[in-house]
Amino acid sequence: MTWISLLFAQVAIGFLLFGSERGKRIFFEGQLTRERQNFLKFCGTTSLCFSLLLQLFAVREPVLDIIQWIMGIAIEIIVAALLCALWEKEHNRFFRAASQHLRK
Amino acid sequence: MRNTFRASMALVHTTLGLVTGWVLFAIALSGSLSVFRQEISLWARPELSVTPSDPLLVDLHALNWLSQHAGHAGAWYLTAANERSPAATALWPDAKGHYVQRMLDPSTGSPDGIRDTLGGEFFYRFHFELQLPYPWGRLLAGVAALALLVGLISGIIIHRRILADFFTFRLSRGQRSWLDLHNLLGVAALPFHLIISFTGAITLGTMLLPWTTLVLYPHDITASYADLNPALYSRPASGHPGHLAPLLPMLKEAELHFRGTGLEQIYVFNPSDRSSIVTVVAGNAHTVSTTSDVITFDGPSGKILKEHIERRPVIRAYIFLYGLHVARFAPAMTRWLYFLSGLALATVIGSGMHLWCLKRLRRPGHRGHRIVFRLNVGILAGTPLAFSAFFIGNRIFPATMPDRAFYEVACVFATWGITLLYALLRRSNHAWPELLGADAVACLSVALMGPLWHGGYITAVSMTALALSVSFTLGTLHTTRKVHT
Repeated sequence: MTWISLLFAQVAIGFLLFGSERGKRIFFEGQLTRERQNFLKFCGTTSLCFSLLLQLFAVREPVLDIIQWIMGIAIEIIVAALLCALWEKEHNRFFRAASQHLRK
Repeated sequence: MRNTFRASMALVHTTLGLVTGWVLFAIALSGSLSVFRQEISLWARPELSVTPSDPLLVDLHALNWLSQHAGHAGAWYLTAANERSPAATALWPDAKGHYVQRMLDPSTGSPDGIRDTLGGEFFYRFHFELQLPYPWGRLLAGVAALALLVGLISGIIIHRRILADFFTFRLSRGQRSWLDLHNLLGVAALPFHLIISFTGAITLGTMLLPWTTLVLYPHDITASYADLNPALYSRPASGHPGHLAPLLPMLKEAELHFRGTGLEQIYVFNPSDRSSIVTVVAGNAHTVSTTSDVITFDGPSGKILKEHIERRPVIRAYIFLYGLHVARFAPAMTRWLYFLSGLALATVIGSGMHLWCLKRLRRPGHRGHRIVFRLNVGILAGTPLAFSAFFIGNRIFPATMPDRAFYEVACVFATWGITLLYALLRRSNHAWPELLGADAVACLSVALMGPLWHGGYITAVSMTALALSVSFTLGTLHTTRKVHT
Protein backbone atom coordinates (compact mmCIF):
# COMPACT_ATOMS: atom_id res chain seq x y z
CA MET A 1 0.00 0.00 0.00
CA THR A 2 1.45 3.39 -0.94
CA TRP A 3 1.92 5.94 1.86
CA ILE A 4 -0.36 8.53 0.26
CA SER A 5 -3.14 5.99 -0.22
CA LEU A 6 -2.70 4.87 3.39
CA LEU A 7 -2.91 8.48 4.56
CA PHE A 8 -6.14 9.12 2.68
CA ALA A 9 -7.56 5.83 3.93
CA GLN A 10 -6.82 6.86 7.52
CA VAL A 11 -8.46 10.23 6.99
CA ALA A 12 -11.46 8.45 5.43
CA ILE A 13 -11.78 6.02 8.33
CA GLY A 14 -11.57 8.99 10.71
CA PHE A 15 -14.43 10.77 8.92
CA LEU A 16 -16.52 7.60 8.77
CA LEU A 17 -15.88 6.92 12.44
CA PHE A 18 -16.95 10.42 13.51
CA GLY A 19 -19.99 10.19 11.25
CA SER A 20 -21.04 6.74 12.51
CA GLU A 21 -23.66 6.10 15.19
CA ARG A 22 -20.91 4.86 17.48
CA GLY A 23 -18.73 7.93 16.87
CA LYS A 24 -21.70 10.25 17.36
CA ARG A 25 -22.44 8.68 20.75
CA ILE A 26 -18.83 8.63 21.99
CA PHE A 27 -17.21 11.76 20.57
CA PHE A 28 -20.22 14.10 20.31
CA GLU A 29 -22.34 12.60 23.13
CA GLY A 30 -25.20 12.25 20.65
CA GLN A 31 -25.18 16.01 19.85
CA LEU A 32 -24.52 15.74 16.11
CA THR A 33 -27.20 16.75 13.63
CA ARG A 34 -28.22 14.36 10.86
CA GLU A 35 -26.89 16.79 8.20
CA ARG A 36 -23.45 17.01 9.80
CA GLN A 37 -23.36 13.26 10.25
CA ASN A 38 -24.20 12.78 6.56
CA PHE A 39 -21.56 15.34 5.60
CA LEU A 40 -18.91 13.44 7.58
CA LYS A 41 -19.98 10.19 5.93
CA PHE A 42 -19.78 11.84 2.50
CA CYS A 43 -16.26 13.14 3.21
CA GLY A 44 -15.25 9.68 4.44
CA THR A 45 -16.62 7.90 1.39
CA THR A 46 -14.96 10.42 -0.99
CA SER A 47 -11.59 10.07 0.77
CA LEU A 48 -11.94 6.28 0.67
CA CYS A 49 -12.60 6.32 -3.09
CA PHE A 50 -9.67 8.70 -3.57
CA SER A 51 -7.45 6.40 -1.51
CA LEU A 52 -8.43 3.45 -3.74
CA LEU A 53 -7.71 5.48 -6.88
CA LEU A 54 -4.29 6.45 -5.57
CA GLN A 55 -3.57 2.82 -4.78
CA LEU A 56 -4.65 1.79 -8.29
CA PHE A 57 -2.34 4.36 -9.84
CA ALA A 58 0.60 2.83 -7.98
CA VAL A 59 3.21 1.02 -10.03
CA ARG A 60 2.18 -2.61 -9.44
CA GLU A 61 -0.63 -4.83 -10.72
CA PRO A 62 -4.23 -3.64 -10.14
CA VAL A 63 -5.30 -6.96 -8.58
CA LEU A 64 -2.45 -6.88 -6.10
CA ASP A 65 -3.14 -3.23 -5.30
CA ILE A 66 -6.83 -3.89 -4.62
CA ILE A 67 -6.04 -6.90 -2.41
CA GLN A 68 -3.54 -4.86 -0.39
CA TRP A 69 -5.96 -1.96 -0.12
CA ILE A 70 -8.89 -4.12 1.06
CA MET A 71 -6.81 -5.85 3.71
CA GLY A 72 -5.18 -2.57 4.79
CA ILE A 73 -8.61 -0.95 5.23
CA ALA A 74 -9.78 -3.92 7.33
CA ILE A 75 -6.90 -3.39 9.75
CA GLU A 76 -7.60 0.34 9.91
CA ILE A 77 -11.27 -0.33 10.76
CA ILE A 78 -10.28 -2.76 13.51
CA VAL A 79 -7.73 -0.32 14.96
CA ALA A 80 -10.30 2.52 14.83
CA ALA A 81 -12.88 0.38 16.65
CA LEU A 82 -10.31 -0.61 19.29
CA LEU A 83 -9.29 3.02 19.85
CA CYS A 84 -12.95 3.92 20.14
CA ALA A 85 -13.50 1.23 22.77
CA LEU A 86 -10.47 2.37 24.77
CA TRP A 87 -11.56 6.02 24.49
CA GLU A 88 -15.03 5.12 25.74
CA LYS A 89 -13.62 3.13 28.66
CA GLU A 90 -11.24 5.91 29.73
CA HIS A 91 -13.90 8.57 29.16
CA ASN A 92 -16.41 6.68 31.34
CA ARG A 93 -13.79 6.12 34.02
CA PHE A 94 -12.87 9.83 34.04
CA PHE A 95 -16.49 10.98 34.30
CA ARG A 96 -17.29 8.37 36.95
CA ALA A 97 -14.33 9.59 39.01
CA ALA A 98 -15.30 13.22 38.45
CA SER A 99 -18.92 12.65 39.51
CA GLN A 100 -17.78 10.75 42.61
CA HIS A 101 -15.44 13.63 43.46
CA LEU A 102 -18.25 16.19 43.03
CA ARG A 103 -20.61 14.12 45.19
CA LYS A 104 -18.04 14.16 48.00
CA MET B 1 -37.34 -24.24 10.53
CA ARG B 2 -38.46 -21.10 12.29
CA ASN B 3 -40.91 -18.80 10.56
CA THR B 4 -38.78 -15.93 9.20
CA PHE B 5 -36.01 -16.05 6.62
CA ARG B 6 -33.56 -14.30 8.96
CA ALA B 7 -34.30 -16.80 11.74
CA SER B 8 -33.71 -19.66 9.32
CA MET B 9 -30.39 -18.14 8.34
CA ALA B 10 -29.48 -17.80 12.03
CA LEU B 11 -30.14 -21.50 12.43
CA VAL B 12 -27.95 -22.29 9.40
CA HIS B 13 -25.19 -19.99 10.73
CA THR B 14 -25.08 -21.52 14.21
CA THR B 15 -25.45 -25.12 13.03
CA LEU B 16 -22.65 -24.80 10.48
CA GLY B 17 -20.46 -23.03 13.05
CA LEU B 18 -21.07 -25.75 15.61
CA VAL B 19 -20.45 -28.63 13.22
CA THR B 20 -17.40 -27.29 11.36
CA GLY B 21 -16.05 -24.68 13.81
CA TRP B 22 -13.29 -26.82 15.33
CA VAL B 23 -11.95 -27.97 11.95
CA LEU B 24 -12.25 -24.46 10.50
CA PHE B 25 -10.35 -22.96 13.43
CA ALA B 26 -7.41 -25.34 12.88
CA ILE B 27 -7.56 -24.78 9.11
CA ALA B 28 -7.57 -20.97 9.50
CA LEU B 29 -4.67 -21.02 11.95
CA SER B 30 -2.52 -23.39 9.89
CA GLY B 31 -3.42 -21.44 6.74
CA SER B 32 -2.21 -18.21 8.34
CA LEU B 33 1.09 -19.87 9.20
CA SER B 34 1.48 -21.45 5.79
CA VAL B 35 1.57 -17.96 4.22
CA PHE B 36 5.14 -17.99 5.56
CA ARG B 37 5.82 -21.57 4.53
CA GLN B 38 9.28 -20.90 3.09
CA GLU B 39 10.36 -18.67 5.96
CA ILE B 40 9.27 -21.26 8.56
CA SER B 41 11.10 -23.95 6.59
CA LEU B 42 14.29 -21.87 6.73
CA TRP B 43 13.77 -21.13 10.45
CA ALA B 44 13.41 -24.86 11.04
CA ARG B 45 16.83 -25.48 9.46
CA PRO B 46 19.21 -23.05 11.18
CA GLU B 47 22.27 -24.92 9.89
CA LEU B 48 21.38 -24.03 6.27
CA SER B 49 23.51 -21.28 4.74
CA VAL B 50 21.12 -18.86 3.04
CA THR B 51 23.48 -16.53 1.23
CA PRO B 52 21.65 -15.46 -1.94
CA SER B 53 22.93 -17.14 -5.10
CA ASP B 54 21.68 -17.79 -8.62
CA PRO B 55 18.61 -20.10 -8.25
CA LEU B 56 19.54 -21.94 -11.47
CA LEU B 57 22.95 -22.86 -10.08
CA VAL B 58 21.36 -23.98 -6.81
CA ASP B 59 19.00 -26.26 -8.78
CA LEU B 60 21.92 -27.54 -10.82
CA HIS B 61 23.91 -28.42 -7.66
CA ALA B 62 20.86 -30.27 -6.34
CA LEU B 63 20.39 -32.20 -9.60
CA ASN B 64 24.09 -33.07 -9.73
CA TRP B 65 23.95 -34.42 -6.18
CA LEU B 66 20.86 -36.48 -7.06
CA SER B 67 22.57 -37.89 -10.16
CA GLN B 68 25.50 -39.05 -7.99
CA HIS B 69 23.49 -40.38 -5.04
CA ALA B 70 20.07 -41.30 -6.41
CA GLY B 71 20.95 -42.09 -10.04
CA HIS B 72 18.95 -45.30 -10.11
CA ALA B 73 15.80 -43.84 -8.59
CA GLY B 74 12.74 -43.93 -10.87
CA ALA B 75 12.21 -40.17 -10.61
CA TRP B 76 13.44 -36.99 -8.93
CA TYR B 77 10.98 -34.28 -8.01
CA LEU B 78 12.70 -30.99 -7.27
CA THR B 79 11.06 -27.85 -5.90
CA ALA B 80 13.29 -25.20 -7.43
CA ALA B 81 15.10 -22.52 -5.45
CA ASN B 82 13.82 -18.95 -5.72
CA GLU B 83 14.23 -15.55 -4.10
CA ARG B 84 12.28 -16.53 -0.96
CA SER B 85 13.64 -20.03 -0.62
CA PRO B 86 17.32 -20.05 -1.60
CA ALA B 87 17.57 -23.85 -1.28
CA ALA B 88 15.94 -26.53 -3.43
CA THR B 89 13.86 -29.35 -1.91
CA ALA B 90 14.05 -32.80 -3.47
CA LEU B 91 11.78 -35.84 -3.27
CA TRP B 92 12.97 -39.20 -4.56
CA PRO B 93 12.36 -42.91 -3.92
CA ASP B 94 15.17 -44.73 -2.07
CA ALA B 95 16.33 -48.29 -2.81
CA LYS B 96 13.37 -49.72 -0.86
CA GLY B 97 10.90 -47.56 -2.78
CA HIS B 98 10.17 -45.26 0.17
CA TYR B 99 10.03 -41.60 -0.75
CA VAL B 100 12.62 -39.34 0.88
CA GLN B 101 12.06 -35.57 1.04
CA ARG B 102 15.04 -33.35 1.96
CA MET B 103 16.12 -29.78 1.56
CA LEU B 104 19.48 -29.61 -0.21
CA ASP B 105 22.36 -27.29 0.59
CA PRO B 106 22.44 -24.42 -1.97
CA SER B 107 26.24 -24.56 -2.44
CA THR B 108 26.86 -28.32 -2.44
CA GLY B 109 23.45 -29.77 -3.32
CA SER B 110 23.83 -32.27 -0.48
CA PRO B 111 21.29 -32.89 2.31
CA ASP B 112 24.07 -33.92 4.75
CA GLY B 113 24.09 -31.93 7.97
CA ILE B 114 20.66 -30.42 7.32
CA ARG B 115 18.07 -31.63 9.79
CA ASP B 116 15.17 -33.76 8.63
CA THR B 117 12.06 -31.63 9.19
CA LEU B 118 8.91 -30.70 7.33
CA GLY B 119 9.22 -27.06 8.40
CA GLY B 120 6.51 -24.83 6.96
CA GLU B 121 5.43 -27.69 4.69
CA PHE B 122 3.69 -29.26 7.71
CA PHE B 123 1.34 -26.27 8.16
CA TYR B 124 0.76 -26.01 4.40
CA ARG B 125 -0.20 -29.69 4.08
CA PHE B 126 -2.19 -29.68 7.29
CA HIS B 127 -4.21 -26.70 6.05
CA PHE B 128 -5.91 -28.79 3.35
CA GLU B 129 -5.11 -32.42 4.21
CA LEU B 130 -5.52 -32.27 8.00
CA GLN B 131 -2.93 -35.05 8.26
CA LEU B 132 -5.58 -37.51 7.06
CA PRO B 133 -5.15 -40.01 4.21
CA TYR B 134 -6.25 -39.07 0.68
CA PRO B 135 -9.04 -38.16 -0.08
CA TRP B 136 -10.57 -37.74 3.42
CA GLY B 137 -8.53 -34.76 4.58
CA ARG B 138 -9.07 -32.81 1.38
CA LEU B 139 -12.73 -33.71 1.31
CA LEU B 140 -13.19 -32.52 4.88
CA ALA B 141 -11.28 -29.29 4.14
CA GLY B 142 -13.41 -28.73 1.01
CA VAL B 143 -16.66 -29.23 2.94
CA ALA B 144 -15.35 -26.91 5.69
CA ALA B 145 -14.51 -24.21 3.10
CA LEU B 146 -17.99 -24.45 1.64
CA ALA B 147 -19.51 -24.32 5.13
CA LEU B 148 -17.44 -21.20 5.86
CA LEU B 149 -18.74 -19.54 2.71
CA VAL B 150 -22.37 -20.36 3.58
CA GLY B 151 -21.71 -19.32 7.18
CA LEU B 152 -20.38 -15.94 6.04
CA ILE B 153 -23.33 -15.27 3.73
CA SER B 154 -25.86 -16.32 6.38
CA GLY B 155 -23.93 -14.18 8.89
CA ILE B 156 -24.33 -11.12 6.65
CA ILE B 157 -28.07 -11.79 6.41
CA ILE B 158 -28.60 -12.18 10.17
CA HIS B 159 -26.50 -9.15 11.12
CA ARG B 160 -29.33 -6.59 11.29
CA ARG B 161 -27.25 -3.49 12.12
CA ILE B 162 -24.26 -4.16 9.87
CA LEU B 163 -23.73 -0.45 9.07
CA ALA B 164 -24.98 1.08 12.32
CA ASP B 165 -22.67 -1.16 14.38
CA PHE B 166 -19.72 -0.75 12.02
CA PHE B 167 -17.15 0.52 14.55
CA THR B 168 -18.80 -1.01 17.59
CA PHE B 169 -16.65 -2.89 20.07
CA ARG B 170 -17.66 -2.52 23.71
CA LEU B 171 -15.14 -3.70 26.29
CA SER B 172 -15.96 -5.53 29.55
CA ARG B 173 -19.58 -6.34 28.63
CA GLY B 174 -19.33 -10.14 28.75
CA GLN B 175 -21.35 -11.85 26.04
CA ARG B 176 -21.97 -8.49 24.30
CA SER B 177 -18.20 -7.93 23.95
CA TRP B 178 -17.75 -11.36 22.37
CA LEU B 179 -20.56 -10.63 19.90
CA ASP B 180 -18.99 -7.24 19.10
CA LEU B 181 -15.60 -8.88 18.50
CA HIS B 182 -17.20 -11.56 16.30
CA ASN B 183 -19.06 -8.93 14.25
CA LEU B 184 -16.23 -6.40 14.04
CA LEU B 185 -13.60 -8.86 12.78
CA GLY B 186 -16.15 -10.60 10.57
CA VAL B 187 -17.33 -7.38 8.90
CA ALA B 188 -14.02 -5.48 8.69
CA ALA B 189 -12.20 -8.33 6.95
CA LEU B 190 -15.32 -9.62 5.15
CA PRO B 191 -13.89 -9.25 1.60
CA PHE B 192 -10.86 -11.32 2.62
CA HIS B 193 -13.01 -13.94 4.36
CA LEU B 194 -15.29 -14.23 1.31
CA ILE B 195 -12.37 -14.45 -1.13
CA ILE B 196 -10.47 -17.01 0.92
CA SER B 197 -13.48 -19.26 1.56
CA PHE B 198 -14.68 -19.08 -2.06
CA THR B 199 -11.22 -19.72 -3.53
CA GLY B 200 -10.65 -22.46 -0.93
CA ALA B 201 -13.82 -24.24 -2.02
CA ILE B 202 -12.88 -23.75 -5.71
CA THR B 203 -9.37 -25.12 -5.08
CA LEU B 204 -10.87 -28.34 -3.74
CA GLY B 205 -13.73 -28.23 -6.26
CA THR B 206 -12.91 -31.60 -7.83
CA MET B 207 -13.26 -33.17 -4.38
CA LEU B 208 -16.67 -31.60 -3.83
CA LEU B 209 -17.98 -32.16 -7.38
CA PRO B 210 -16.14 -35.15 -8.90
CA TRP B 211 -19.02 -36.20 -11.16
CA THR B 212 -18.21 -33.97 -14.15
CA THR B 213 -14.80 -35.60 -14.52
CA LEU B 214 -16.31 -39.05 -14.04
CA VAL B 215 -18.86 -38.38 -16.80
CA LEU B 216 -16.30 -36.96 -19.24
CA TYR B 217 -13.64 -39.59 -18.53
CA PRO B 218 -15.63 -42.69 -17.54
CA HIS B 219 -12.94 -45.26 -18.31
CA ASP B 220 -9.62 -43.54 -17.62
CA ILE B 221 -9.51 -40.73 -15.07
CA THR B 222 -5.78 -40.17 -15.72
CA ALA B 223 -6.71 -38.95 -19.22
CA SER B 224 -8.17 -35.85 -17.53
CA TYR B 225 -4.74 -35.06 -16.07
CA ALA B 226 -3.18 -35.30 -19.52
CA ASP B 227 -5.79 -32.90 -20.91
CA LEU B 228 -5.27 -30.49 -18.04
CA ASN B 229 -1.48 -30.54 -18.42
CA PRO B 230 -0.76 -31.46 -22.06
CA ALA B 231 3.00 -31.07 -21.66
CA LEU B 232 3.25 -33.37 -18.63
CA TYR B 233 4.54 -36.18 -20.80
CA SER B 234 5.65 -39.59 -19.60
CA ARG B 235 7.14 -42.65 -21.29
CA PRO B 236 8.25 -45.99 -19.90
CA ALA B 237 11.91 -46.79 -19.24
CA SER B 238 13.60 -48.52 -22.19
CA GLY B 239 15.74 -50.76 -20.00
CA HIS B 240 18.94 -49.51 -21.67
CA PRO B 241 21.32 -47.35 -19.63
CA GLY B 242 21.67 -43.74 -20.70
CA HIS B 243 22.97 -40.36 -19.57
CA LEU B 244 21.30 -37.02 -19.12
CA ALA B 245 22.44 -34.18 -21.36
CA PRO B 246 23.82 -31.13 -19.48
CA LEU B 247 20.92 -29.80 -17.40
CA LEU B 248 21.88 -26.13 -17.17
CA PRO B 249 21.11 -25.34 -20.87
CA MET B 250 17.70 -27.03 -20.46
CA LEU B 251 16.89 -24.96 -17.37
CA LYS B 252 18.06 -21.77 -19.09
CA GLU B 253 15.95 -22.50 -22.15
CA ALA B 254 12.90 -23.20 -19.98
CA GLU B 255 13.44 -19.95 -18.10
CA LEU B 256 13.63 -18.10 -21.42
CA HIS B 257 10.34 -19.64 -22.59
CA PHE B 258 8.57 -18.78 -19.33
CA ARG B 259 9.35 -15.06 -19.79
CA GLY B 260 10.65 -14.22 -16.32
CA THR B 261 8.19 -16.18 -14.17
CA GLY B 262 11.02 -18.32 -12.82
CA LEU B 263 10.99 -22.09 -12.28
CA GLU B 264 8.75 -23.83 -9.77
CA GLN B 265 9.31 -27.57 -10.21
CA ILE B 266 11.79 -29.78 -12.04
CA TYR B 267 10.94 -33.45 -12.54
CA VAL B 268 13.40 -35.97 -13.97
CA PHE B 269 11.95 -39.36 -14.86
CA ASN B 270 14.14 -42.46 -15.33
CA PRO B 271 17.35 -40.39 -15.02
CA SER B 272 19.75 -43.29 -15.75
CA ASP B 273 17.77 -44.67 -18.68
CA ARG B 274 18.03 -43.95 -22.41
CA SER B 275 14.44 -42.70 -22.44
CA SER B 276 14.81 -40.24 -19.57
CA ILE B 277 12.79 -37.03 -19.65
CA VAL B 278 13.11 -33.70 -17.86
CA THR B 279 9.97 -31.68 -17.13
CA VAL B 280 10.15 -28.06 -16.00
CA VAL B 281 7.13 -26.25 -14.54
CA ALA B 282 7.06 -22.44 -14.54
CA GLY B 283 7.02 -20.39 -11.36
CA ASN B 284 4.69 -17.50 -10.71
CA ALA B 285 6.90 -14.56 -9.87
CA HIS B 286 5.04 -11.29 -10.69
CA THR B 287 1.69 -12.98 -11.47
CA VAL B 288 -1.30 -13.68 -9.23
CA SER B 289 -2.08 -16.93 -11.06
CA THR B 290 -0.17 -20.07 -10.28
CA THR B 291 1.16 -20.56 -13.78
CA SER B 292 0.86 -24.02 -15.27
CA ASP B 293 3.23 -23.51 -18.19
CA VAL B 294 5.24 -26.69 -18.70
CA ILE B 295 8.13 -27.77 -20.93
CA THR B 296 9.30 -31.38 -21.29
CA PHE B 297 12.79 -32.16 -22.62
CA ASP B 298 14.20 -35.39 -23.94
CA GLY B 299 16.79 -36.31 -21.25
CA PRO B 300 19.66 -37.72 -23.38
CA SER B 301 19.49 -35.08 -26.16
CA GLY B 302 18.14 -32.04 -24.24
CA LYS B 303 15.66 -31.28 -27.07
CA ILE B 304 12.16 -30.02 -26.34
CA LEU B 305 9.60 -32.81 -26.62
CA LYS B 306 6.48 -30.89 -25.59
CA GLU B 307 5.66 -27.38 -24.50
CA HIS B 308 2.44 -25.97 -23.13
CA ILE B 309 1.76 -22.32 -22.38
CA GLU B 310 -1.64 -22.05 -20.71
CA ARG B 311 -4.14 -19.94 -22.71
CA ARG B 312 -7.48 -21.72 -22.06
CA PRO B 313 -9.76 -19.16 -20.36
CA VAL B 314 -11.46 -21.52 -17.89
CA ILE B 315 -8.17 -22.94 -16.67
CA ARG B 316 -6.67 -19.45 -16.51
CA ALA B 317 -9.64 -18.37 -14.35
CA TYR B 318 -9.10 -21.41 -12.12
CA ILE B 319 -5.36 -20.82 -11.65
CA PHE B 320 -6.07 -17.15 -10.94
CA LEU B 321 -8.50 -18.06 -8.13
CA TYR B 322 -6.10 -20.72 -6.86
CA GLY B 323 -3.25 -18.19 -6.97
CA LEU B 324 -5.36 -15.73 -5.00
CA HIS B 325 -5.81 -18.35 -2.28
CA VAL B 326 -2.21 -19.52 -1.96
CA ALA B 327 -0.73 -16.02 -2.39
CA ARG B 328 2.57 -17.20 -3.87
CA PHE B 329 2.65 -13.99 -5.87
CA ALA B 330 2.50 -11.80 -2.81
CA PRO B 331 5.27 -9.45 -1.72
CA ALA B 332 6.18 -9.33 1.98
CA MET B 333 3.60 -6.72 2.98
CA THR B 334 0.71 -8.56 1.32
CA ARG B 335 1.83 -11.75 3.06
CA TRP B 336 1.67 -10.02 6.43
CA LEU B 337 -1.80 -8.73 5.55
CA TYR B 338 -2.85 -12.28 4.58
CA PHE B 339 -1.39 -13.54 7.86
CA LEU B 340 -3.22 -10.94 9.98
CA SER B 341 -6.48 -11.44 8.08
CA GLY B 342 -6.10 -15.21 8.59
CA LEU B 343 -5.69 -14.65 12.32
CA ALA B 344 -8.77 -12.42 12.22
CA LEU B 345 -10.69 -15.27 10.56
CA ALA B 346 -9.52 -17.70 13.25
CA THR B 347 -10.68 -15.19 15.89
CA VAL B 348 -14.07 -14.82 14.20
CA ILE B 349 -14.53 -18.60 14.23
CA GLY B 350 -13.25 -18.93 17.81
CA SER B 351 -15.39 -16.09 19.16
CA GLY B 352 -18.43 -17.54 17.38
CA MET B 353 -17.86 -20.93 19.00
CA HIS B 354 -17.38 -19.33 22.42
CA LEU B 355 -20.48 -17.19 21.98
CA TRP B 356 -22.58 -20.26 21.16
CA CYS B 357 -21.61 -21.80 24.48
CA LEU B 358 -21.98 -18.59 26.53
CA LYS B 359 -25.56 -18.19 25.31
CA ARG B 360 -26.51 -21.75 26.18
CA LEU B 361 -24.70 -22.03 29.50
CA ARG B 362 -26.89 -19.28 30.93
CA ARG B 363 -29.77 -21.73 30.81
CA PRO B 364 -30.03 -24.54 33.38
CA GLY B 365 -27.31 -27.20 33.05
CA HIS B 366 -27.21 -29.29 29.90
CA ARG B 367 -24.46 -31.88 29.77
CA GLY B 368 -24.00 -31.57 25.99
CA HIS B 369 -23.46 -27.81 26.22
CA ARG B 370 -20.92 -28.25 29.00
CA ILE B 371 -18.99 -30.85 27.00
CA VAL B 372 -18.95 -28.57 23.93
CA PHE B 373 -17.76 -25.68 26.10
CA ARG B 374 -14.89 -27.76 27.48
CA LEU B 375 -13.95 -29.05 24.03
CA ASN B 376 -14.00 -25.45 22.81
CA VAL B 377 -11.44 -24.57 25.46
CA GLY B 378 -9.32 -27.53 24.34
CA ILE B 379 -9.47 -26.56 20.67
CA LEU B 380 -9.20 -22.78 20.98
CA ALA B 381 -6.35 -22.77 23.47
CA GLY B 382 -4.94 -26.17 22.49
CA THR B 383 -4.37 -25.57 18.76
CA PRO B 384 -1.87 -22.71 19.23
CA LEU B 385 -0.16 -24.81 21.90
CA ALA B 386 0.05 -27.83 19.58
CA PHE B 387 1.45 -25.71 16.74
CA SER B 388 3.99 -24.14 19.12
CA ALA B 389 5.01 -27.69 20.09
CA PHE B 390 6.07 -28.23 16.48
CA PHE B 391 8.49 -25.30 16.65
CA ILE B 392 9.78 -26.33 20.09
CA GLY B 393 10.21 -29.96 18.98
CA ASN B 394 12.17 -28.74 15.98
CA ARG B 395 14.76 -27.15 18.24
CA ILE B 396 14.76 -29.72 21.06
CA PHE B 397 15.17 -32.97 19.10
CA PRO B 398 18.79 -33.70 18.11
CA ALA B 399 19.55 -32.68 14.51
CA THR B 400 20.73 -36.18 13.59
CA MET B 401 17.86 -38.05 15.27
CA PRO B 402 16.37 -40.66 12.93
CA ASP B 403 12.78 -40.00 11.79
CA ARG B 404 12.82 -36.62 13.52
CA ALA B 405 10.33 -35.15 10.99
CA PHE B 406 7.84 -37.80 12.09
CA TYR B 407 8.43 -37.07 15.79
CA GLU B 408 7.96 -33.32 15.26
CA VAL B 409 4.52 -33.99 13.80
CA ALA B 410 3.79 -36.54 16.54
CA CYS B 411 4.60 -33.78 19.05
CA VAL B 412 1.79 -31.65 17.61
CA PHE B 413 -0.85 -34.34 17.89
CA ALA B 414 0.33 -35.56 21.33
CA THR B 415 0.10 -31.99 22.67
CA TRP B 416 -3.30 -31.55 21.07
CA GLY B 417 -4.60 -34.80 22.57
CA ILE B 418 -3.29 -33.98 26.05
CA THR B 419 -4.78 -30.47 25.88
CA LEU B 420 -8.20 -31.78 24.85
CA LEU B 421 -8.16 -34.35 27.62
CA TYR B 422 -7.08 -31.73 30.14
CA ALA B 423 -9.84 -29.35 29.01
CA LEU B 424 -12.43 -32.13 29.25
CA LEU B 425 -11.43 -33.11 32.78
CA ARG B 426 -10.66 -29.68 34.27
CA ARG B 427 -13.29 -27.09 35.18
CA SER B 428 -13.48 -24.71 32.24
CA ASN B 429 -13.07 -21.49 34.24
CA HIS B 430 -9.73 -22.89 35.48
CA ALA B 431 -8.75 -24.52 32.18
CA TRP B 432 -8.97 -21.20 30.27
CA PRO B 433 -6.26 -19.29 32.20
CA GLU B 434 -4.08 -22.39 32.58
CA LEU B 435 -4.08 -23.28 28.89
CA LEU B 436 -3.72 -19.66 27.79
CA GLY B 437 -0.77 -19.40 30.18
CA ALA B 438 0.73 -22.51 28.58
CA ASP B 439 0.24 -20.86 25.15
CA ALA B 440 2.04 -17.73 26.38
CA VAL B 441 4.98 -19.76 27.73
CA ALA B 442 5.17 -21.89 24.56
CA CYS B 443 5.18 -18.83 22.28
CA LEU B 444 7.81 -17.16 24.46
CA SER B 445 9.96 -20.30 24.18
CA VAL B 446 9.64 -20.19 20.38
CA ALA B 447 10.62 -16.50 20.42
CA LEU B 448 13.72 -17.21 22.49
CA MET B 449 14.80 -20.17 20.35
CA GLY B 450 15.95 -17.94 17.50
CA PRO B 451 18.09 -14.94 18.46
CA LEU B 452 15.93 -11.81 18.20
CA TRP B 453 18.80 -9.76 16.82
CA HIS B 454 19.68 -12.22 14.02
CA GLY B 455 17.71 -10.30 11.37
CA GLY B 456 15.57 -11.52 8.46
CA TYR B 457 13.14 -14.38 8.86
CA ILE B 458 14.54 -15.57 12.23
CA THR B 459 13.79 -12.20 13.85
CA ALA B 460 10.38 -12.13 12.10
CA VAL B 461 9.44 -15.57 13.53
CA SER B 462 10.72 -14.58 16.99
CA MET B 463 8.93 -11.23 17.00
CA THR B 464 5.66 -12.81 15.84
CA ALA B 465 5.94 -15.47 18.56
CA LEU B 466 6.70 -12.73 21.09
CA ALA B 467 3.65 -10.70 20.01
CA LEU B 468 1.47 -13.81 20.30
CA SER B 469 2.98 -14.55 23.72
CA VAL B 470 2.04 -11.04 24.91
CA SER B 471 -1.54 -11.52 23.58
CA PHE B 472 -1.85 -14.87 25.37
CA THR B 473 -0.45 -13.33 28.57
CA LEU B 474 -3.11 -10.61 28.43
CA GLY B 475 -5.73 -13.33 27.86
CA THR B 476 -4.36 -15.29 30.84
CA LEU B 477 -4.48 -12.24 33.12
CA HIS B 478 -8.01 -11.42 32.00
CA THR B 479 -9.35 -14.95 32.54
CA THR B 480 -7.48 -15.32 35.87
CA ARG B 481 -9.10 -12.10 37.10
CA LYS B 482 -12.49 -13.53 36.14
CA VAL B 483 -11.83 -16.73 38.12
CA HIS B 484 -11.00 -14.72 41.25
CA THR B 485 -13.99 -12.37 41.01
